[in-house]
Amino acid sequence: MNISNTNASNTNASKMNAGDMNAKKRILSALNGGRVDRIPAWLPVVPVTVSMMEIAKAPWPLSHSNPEQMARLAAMPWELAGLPTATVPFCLSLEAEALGCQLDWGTLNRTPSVKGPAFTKPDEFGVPENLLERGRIMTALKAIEILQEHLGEKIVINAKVTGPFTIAGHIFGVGNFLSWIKTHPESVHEAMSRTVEVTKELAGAFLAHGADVISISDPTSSGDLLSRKYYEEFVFPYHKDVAASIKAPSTLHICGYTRELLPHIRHAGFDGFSFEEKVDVLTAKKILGDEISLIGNVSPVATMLQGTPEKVTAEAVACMQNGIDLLSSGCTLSPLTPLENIRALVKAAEQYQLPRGPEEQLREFGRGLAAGRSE
Amino acid sequence: MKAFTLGFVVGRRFKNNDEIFEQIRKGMEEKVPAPGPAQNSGLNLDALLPAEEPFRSIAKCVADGEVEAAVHLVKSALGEGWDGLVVATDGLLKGMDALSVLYNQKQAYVPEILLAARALNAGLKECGSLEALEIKGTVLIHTADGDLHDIGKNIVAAIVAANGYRVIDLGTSVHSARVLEAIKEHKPVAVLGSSLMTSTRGAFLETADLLVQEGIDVPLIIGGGAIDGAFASQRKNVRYARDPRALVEVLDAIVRGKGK
Repeated sequence: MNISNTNASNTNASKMNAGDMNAKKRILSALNGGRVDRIPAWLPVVPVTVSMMEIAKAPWPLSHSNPEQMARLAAMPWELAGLPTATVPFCLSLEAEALGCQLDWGTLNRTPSVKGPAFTKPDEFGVPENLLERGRIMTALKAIEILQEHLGEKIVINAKVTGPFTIAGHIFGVGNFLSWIKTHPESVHEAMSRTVEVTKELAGAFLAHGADVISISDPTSSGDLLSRKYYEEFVFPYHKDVAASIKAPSTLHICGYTRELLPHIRHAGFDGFSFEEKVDVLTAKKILGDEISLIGNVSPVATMLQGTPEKVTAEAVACMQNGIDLLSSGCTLSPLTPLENIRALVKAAEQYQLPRGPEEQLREFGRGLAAGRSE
Repeated sequence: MKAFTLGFVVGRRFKNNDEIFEQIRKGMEEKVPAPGPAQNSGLNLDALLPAEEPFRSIAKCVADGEVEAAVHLVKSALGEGWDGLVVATDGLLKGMDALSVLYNQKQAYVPEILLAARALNAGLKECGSLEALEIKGTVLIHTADGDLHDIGKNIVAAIVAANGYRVIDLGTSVHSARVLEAIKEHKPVAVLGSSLMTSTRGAFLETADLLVQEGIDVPLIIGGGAIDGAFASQRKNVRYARDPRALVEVLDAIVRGKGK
């Protein structure tokens, strides 16, 4: 299959690689807290749009269930905007569907969502033995294989896996599950100890099929819904478990207001943390320090969707000045996001000069010395 | 500006340059104001609850989400001869309202609100007929067509009800035609809408246009993660509420405007 079956030029791609570092190496290095020649633009969340679906001939909801279409669409942000990543799947309902929930398949511009819970109590639910064969999991695994085969040398193949708290919210009903925190705390732990196995098994399977990075998305554990104390007691141990089990670079994304959760997230063991603009970058940098790479945090709605490319550039530069390690939008992009805004994000990262640190100055000094000696 | 660029230098990639960076780190920490919401705003539950018994205990049970205790206290208050309506308005609803203040201050979270709503509803059932309950008006609540997220909507419904409105819940993913039908049936003072997905919020504009077309003068008040003031300002009959308490203020203003 020719994954680049579009008329779009690939000039972005060749330009990206012209620098010192290859796009993929740059992202992996930034995730691991290593040296970079500049800050990379990279989204751990889904960056596909309706215009990409048209060009790739892979419209939603069809492309959620077809591996070739899924791979083709996932490659579009790179092909059309030079964003060096391909992320699958596009929804958060893959796991819930495999565990027995009914889905509303959504539309061209709306992701599938879970219609209702599949279970009422934690003891009704066990991790199915044939988990990987259920629902659309094989579809996503196959898409990862296709992407790795065609683009794996150039860009980061990213697998998005739903976090244990969000899966539990889906399969037991969010309202029901959240109220257990007060009424049946032991049930929350019982449920989490099972859903965490789903997240871990899926992450492992994606890696085995060729994913470079695992991005855990756990929006229901947001600080908008949970206090710091609840996060610490009911979510943190499981996030730690997931992070420890992933033998590859991994990121965590939590939507909304996560300021209160940061002191814990710092120690969860992920390589990167992706957060929304409700948390100021400098504040996050201060708390997360050098333990975890910061990913974010241009506003997905006010700027990426509704703003102009100029606004994207201004906000992107502010993010990078404040200490973002990988430039991204704060959350999944709306499928109606204009392509030029995604291009502006990529360009902002390309053009931003990293301030020179003392290490680099020292190296230049050393190069000068070496040059002097050889003459 | 200087403080801003410091963010980088403290990155892991420069970890080994200890002394210089320790200084920069210290400098940065001093420059960053202590973040986070106003946690010590001096508000606590005790100050927000009604002073007299038995209402204070009843309100406290609701705020603490103790369903059985709330029902028990309501029953014994009714047994002592208190009127069901008084127990509901001065006790149960006051408890929910107190908790909504704490929720706004991020001193209470969604699990607390969910349980309080449960205790509130269980208590209200005991109070008998609430037909005579003085209400400020009826409101409809729904989530945008295509949006299945109902937690936010349920919280808003509970807080609006605690503030003296009759709330009719149309459920999730409600089409504009259904909203129109419900407006004709219930004659609300406002329609409330929640959307967490930018891909669904356009439905509110459709609903707003439909209301104008039909000549119905009922404002649509919207909120949720996907909504902001700029989005709401696209139509004259649409307003934005940032959080449940802001919403109650908007509603109260609408009702006051009507009374004049």
